[in-house]
Amino acid sequence: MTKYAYIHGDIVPIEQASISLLNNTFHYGTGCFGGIRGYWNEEQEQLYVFRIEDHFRRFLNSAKMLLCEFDVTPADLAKVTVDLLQREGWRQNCYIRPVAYKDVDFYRVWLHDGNDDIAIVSIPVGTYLEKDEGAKVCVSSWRRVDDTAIPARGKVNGSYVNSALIKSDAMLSGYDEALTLSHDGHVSEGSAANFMMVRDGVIITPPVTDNILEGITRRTIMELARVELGLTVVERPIDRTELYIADEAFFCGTGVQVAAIASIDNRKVGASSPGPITSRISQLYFDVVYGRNPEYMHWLTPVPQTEAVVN
Amino acid sequence: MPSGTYRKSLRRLLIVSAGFNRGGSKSHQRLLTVSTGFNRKSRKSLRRLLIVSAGFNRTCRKSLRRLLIVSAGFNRKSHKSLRRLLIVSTGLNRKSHEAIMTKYAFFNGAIVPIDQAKVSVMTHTLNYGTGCFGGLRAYWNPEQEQLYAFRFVDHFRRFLNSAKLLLAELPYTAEELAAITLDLLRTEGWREDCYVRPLLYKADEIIGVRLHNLRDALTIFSVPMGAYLPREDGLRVCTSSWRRVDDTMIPARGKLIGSYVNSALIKSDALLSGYDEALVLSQDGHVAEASAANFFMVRDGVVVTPPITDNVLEGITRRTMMHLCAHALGLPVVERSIDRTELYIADEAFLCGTGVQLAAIGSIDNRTLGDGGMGPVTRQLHTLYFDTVRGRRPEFADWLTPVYDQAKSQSAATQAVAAT
Repeated sequence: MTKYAYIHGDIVPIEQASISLLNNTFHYGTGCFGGIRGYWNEEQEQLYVFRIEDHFRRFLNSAKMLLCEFDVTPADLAKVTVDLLQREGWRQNCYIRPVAYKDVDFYRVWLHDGNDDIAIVSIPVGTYLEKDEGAKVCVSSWRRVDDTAIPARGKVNGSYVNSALIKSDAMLSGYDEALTLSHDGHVSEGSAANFMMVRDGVIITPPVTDNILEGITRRTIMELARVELGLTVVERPIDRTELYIADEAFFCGTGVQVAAIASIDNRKVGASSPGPITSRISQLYFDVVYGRNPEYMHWLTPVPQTEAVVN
Repeated sequence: MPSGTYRKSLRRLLIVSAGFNRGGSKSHQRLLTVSTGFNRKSRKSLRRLLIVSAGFNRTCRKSLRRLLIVSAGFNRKSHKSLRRLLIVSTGLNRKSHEAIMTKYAFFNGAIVPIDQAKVSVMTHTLNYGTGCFGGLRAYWNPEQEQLYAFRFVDHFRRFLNSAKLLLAELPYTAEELAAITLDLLRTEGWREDCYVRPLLYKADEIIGVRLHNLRDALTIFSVPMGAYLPREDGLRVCTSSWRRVDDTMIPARGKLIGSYVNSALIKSDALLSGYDEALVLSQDGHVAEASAANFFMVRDGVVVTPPITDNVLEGITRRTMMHLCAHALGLPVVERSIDRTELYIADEAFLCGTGVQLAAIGSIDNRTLGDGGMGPVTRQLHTLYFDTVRGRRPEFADWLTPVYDQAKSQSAATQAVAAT
């Protein structure tokens, strides 16, 4: 279990990392967060954090949209996080959650109060249980929040009630996940993961202007597909019925990692699931994040171990 | 945070909240400079500034105070005098300032001291906005020494409807929630206007982003609001460049936590551009509402407000105003879509809601409405509304629940009269 948290500029026991019931962000969703993973490499007995500075760069960009003013760099936040993980001494995969929140009371529904704080916690996660046969997906009857209302490009707390509405509806209708259309009817993403499909050997994913998260995993996979697999990757709007005739489709993100899609609206995707390109991408991705691919070690930050842990 | 940034945002805040022009910012600047060794005159202008910038409640004043102290980067002594100054200017002495603090909250099924009521930073709703809330008011009637709860059951009925949108279930009826809240108010013993905030949240710690199979929890607390200062000049309002969250994305009809980041984006943009408030259009371009209040306009003697299908909160105050207009003022009330440029040619316009209560709009996108103050219909409605909520209109007494034992408070009132 989690023992520590970073809050108000210090690492403290997790029980002390609480907020008042009057807290502004608790009432109005006026915060943003990040999602970062640490991967435990059993052979090397080493915990690697994946693209930590890139994650914090996006985190601070999300904060900027909410008029938060932080005098920290992504490198500062990465350092604090590594300290936190060292204290926890995880010897298994973990998930790291930084959250920026308004450290003021609920009285005013606005963003520019200036009292912003960052909290960071980490939780252990097992090996992700991915359904081998691929996810059963539907198109949601909800629409993705629009960039003119609440931006989906950053991880803004409030926008996730849209994700939660989408996810619960899908699950309660017997699906694993849903794809959401943006207001104009183009495919945006899953409830909380980016979407990619393969048509005629080309990987296609919605552009960042179609109300999607500017995903770090999305960028990672686009690069791996181009550089390692020599595939063409295209960012363009995707129509709903293109989903039904795709050869392969998958979700990606820090949470889901790479998750194959078996069917969309009860139409089987491709001949088998996961498809051949999805399988290769998945293999590549896990080799990279676990530190088994020497070409991409620059994306990994090793967490030093304390004496106590080694003993 | 560098003090320069604070100072800047403070200045912006003050200037904006006061609806001030360039001249105002200058006097504020003078104010800060002078406050280390100020004279009588600057004290007065500070006071004016604060009062004007108000419309806000004590706590906001408190945070403003914190802000001022921090922003000034003064020495200890001058902090103190500045603080004294501000406290005096809000008409509160130190003691009464402390006395207004909330002491209790309904939390985990019981009324507990508020400092025991905390949640972890890992709470689902803090991270994902997956909760809903309500906003209720109780009004102090000094003659009757009675606190009147306004439409509590109606508010809790909507609160439970918001919960339903989030697949949340609470083991209480609206009537039971109202009774719990009355208990809470009696425990606090408020003898002034107060605001009540019930909040439903998903109590699990960060896991899946979903709504079902999570533990729904409820908290309720109240805060004192101090005396209400009516604002004679109308609000300076702009049309927001943001759009209201759509019913197909996050419903605005209930008070869903996540949707309020949309409100906060709208409100901050308006304030930082020198306006008091903004009106927001829905995706199709029709007027929805203000950042967190319903909108009404008057055209040719007809009171017009957007329908509940135009992404507006199904406001209790909205319903109250519609009822008062139709039944007490005898005015036709129409719910219909409103176009943007209709705003510019309206005879009067106002905002309403539990928070803002009733506020006249003076101008929209720099076009003055009427004489820029409170129009005749708005003024009539204003009087009627405050008489109603304070228990001075017997025909609308059904909307009120006395918080304190009526016999007791009446005898207290009698005693008070006898004593004088």
